[in-house]
Amino acid sequence: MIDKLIQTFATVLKVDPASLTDESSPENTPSWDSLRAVQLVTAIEETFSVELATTDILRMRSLGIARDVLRRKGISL
Amino acid sequence: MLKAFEEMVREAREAVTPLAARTIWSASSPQLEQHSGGLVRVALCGTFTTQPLEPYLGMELLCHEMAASIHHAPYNQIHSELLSPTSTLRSDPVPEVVVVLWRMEELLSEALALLTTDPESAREAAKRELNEFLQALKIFLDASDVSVIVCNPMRPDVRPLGLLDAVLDQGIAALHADVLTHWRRALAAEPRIHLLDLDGAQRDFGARPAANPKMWLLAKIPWSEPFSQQVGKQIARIIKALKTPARKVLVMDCDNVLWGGVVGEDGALGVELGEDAPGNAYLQLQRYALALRERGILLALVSKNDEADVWQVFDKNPRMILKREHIAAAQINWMAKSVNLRQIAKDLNLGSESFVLIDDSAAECAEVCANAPEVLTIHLVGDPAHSVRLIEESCAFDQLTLTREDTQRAEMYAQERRREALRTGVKTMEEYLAGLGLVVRIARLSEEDVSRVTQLGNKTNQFNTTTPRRSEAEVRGLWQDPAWHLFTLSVTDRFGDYGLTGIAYCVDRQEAWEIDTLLLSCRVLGRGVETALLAVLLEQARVRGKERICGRYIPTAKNTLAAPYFPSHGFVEREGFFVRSTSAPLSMPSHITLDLDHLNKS
Repeated sequence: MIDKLIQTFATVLKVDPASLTDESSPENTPSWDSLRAVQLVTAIEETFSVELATTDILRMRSLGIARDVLRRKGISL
Repeated sequence: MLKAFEEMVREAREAVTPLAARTIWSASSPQLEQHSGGLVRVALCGTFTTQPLEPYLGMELLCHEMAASIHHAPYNQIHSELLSPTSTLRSDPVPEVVVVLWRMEELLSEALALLTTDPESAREAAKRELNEFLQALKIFLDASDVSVIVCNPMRPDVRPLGLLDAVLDQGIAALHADVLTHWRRALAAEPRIHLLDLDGAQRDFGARPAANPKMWLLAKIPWSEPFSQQVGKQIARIIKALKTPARKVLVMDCDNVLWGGVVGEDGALGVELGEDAPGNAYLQLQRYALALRERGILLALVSKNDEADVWQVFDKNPRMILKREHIAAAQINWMAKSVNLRQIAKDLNLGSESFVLIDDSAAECAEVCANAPEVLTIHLVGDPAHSVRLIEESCAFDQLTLTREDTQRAEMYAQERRREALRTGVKTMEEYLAGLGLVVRIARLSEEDVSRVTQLGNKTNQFNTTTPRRSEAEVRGLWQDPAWHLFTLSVTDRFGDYGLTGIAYCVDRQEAWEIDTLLLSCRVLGRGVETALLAVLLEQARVRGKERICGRYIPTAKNTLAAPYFPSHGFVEREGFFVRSTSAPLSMPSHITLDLDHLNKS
């Protein structure tokens, strides 16, 4: 199911949303470089109106972890 | 799916939020690379990460109907990018505009380290670091034909002295203020560099919302997304001013713009004007209009009224700040404003694409937008207290240089009206010309002239034989080329100084001189100046041993005035050129005095 988080990742990483899973990471997604990693943070913060702590950002190495970070902030998708 | 350029422009104008701007840019920018209408290549070079600026700069340029390709120089390598002949700024595809961004924290680190213990040495170190930076910029400019935009620094956010920081020499605020002044003066002396006022942008936006401490630590991104958007817009504003001719005329509606109320109903003394509210809002606008006039913007009136009523206010209302003599042209009648604007364009001999209209009526603004879309229309909506800000926010009169011609423009138009008065008073053209006392000064182009001749060259359309458009950098290149001979022409008469009104660029072609560029301002036509210029060029070619002088006429939609120029002076058409032998001189008109004192200096 393509939720708002997957859509956000798809827009920033310029990939088909259907290709993204919770296991998507810089290791298996070629367009997820350091520049895009920064853009992902900004996009998530603006789309979900949250502020991500530096520690969260540094450990957000997969889409699944991003989902978990948002859940801990009370945003369930 | 390929989008039409017009659609991308429309989307750009609707994408207001940072998120929308980034999303649309991400989709549009790859398609822009294929844009057939020409790309503006911009390179961003900074002491910090510049990538966040790209979508906002790109989208704002799209709003101005420019397709941009934006490149980022390697992170924090501004000196090597400027100095190395193989840097990305000098490699293909070469950028047209280079934007260099810096902060005090990176560039003036030595000065900041010394500041608390030795504020004087800190300032010496800052001057050294800034001069080194300026030298690198100059070396880069000498080696490339690009436009360079450099920022001034923002005040650093972290100031350990706290309350004392704004007072003591050891304070960061004081050092920042001194750096701003030093940098402004250094750049004012370097016309090839355009200043991006980051300091002002940060002040307008607010330092706290502009900063992004978390992203700085993570990725060396100093700014929040909304502030990056502002900076991108400011950079686009400068690029637009680089590539679009400045507007020159403010056309003003009268009722509820220059005064409160309607003069046809309230009478010349009954309109709202005074030092108290609400009348003082209109005086504020009048003062602003006068200030614009002082920097070279002409003032005109377009109003749906009986003409006499409007002039009554100017003549009889003691509160008026604007006077008749400040108005360069007026069309006060009951016709459509778009028609009147075109008439004012004829009267002033300026294109209506250089006009800005201010009007409180949405209907009038819509009429002009529809029928004269080349005019920039500013609808003065809401409280008149905000009118001046609306005009400023339009950035309509942005210019990158201010020349003597600019500051004297309004006065020169007034002089011309006085000449007209003489002409209607005399009987023959000969009498008129003799009475003018014309002095034509033809001189070698000097370095100080480059800015003015570039402006003149790019805005003169009618008496222009070949209509080449050149940037300041290109003109400077010709000036340095020994095969090229560049001349300026200025005219005075007994009514005043017409200023710089002509240019002629000739190039050596073995036994001939080719007049590559020749143009004259319409102000000085019909007085024999055209003949005087050719006579001098002919003689100049002859003394250099050239047998012939030749020129071309390239017709455009606007320059039919120049079509008979060469033929009427004895030039014969041959293989696409008009050619004349230099051995038979052209006779000078008798009513013109030549000033050639600066003809052979360089």
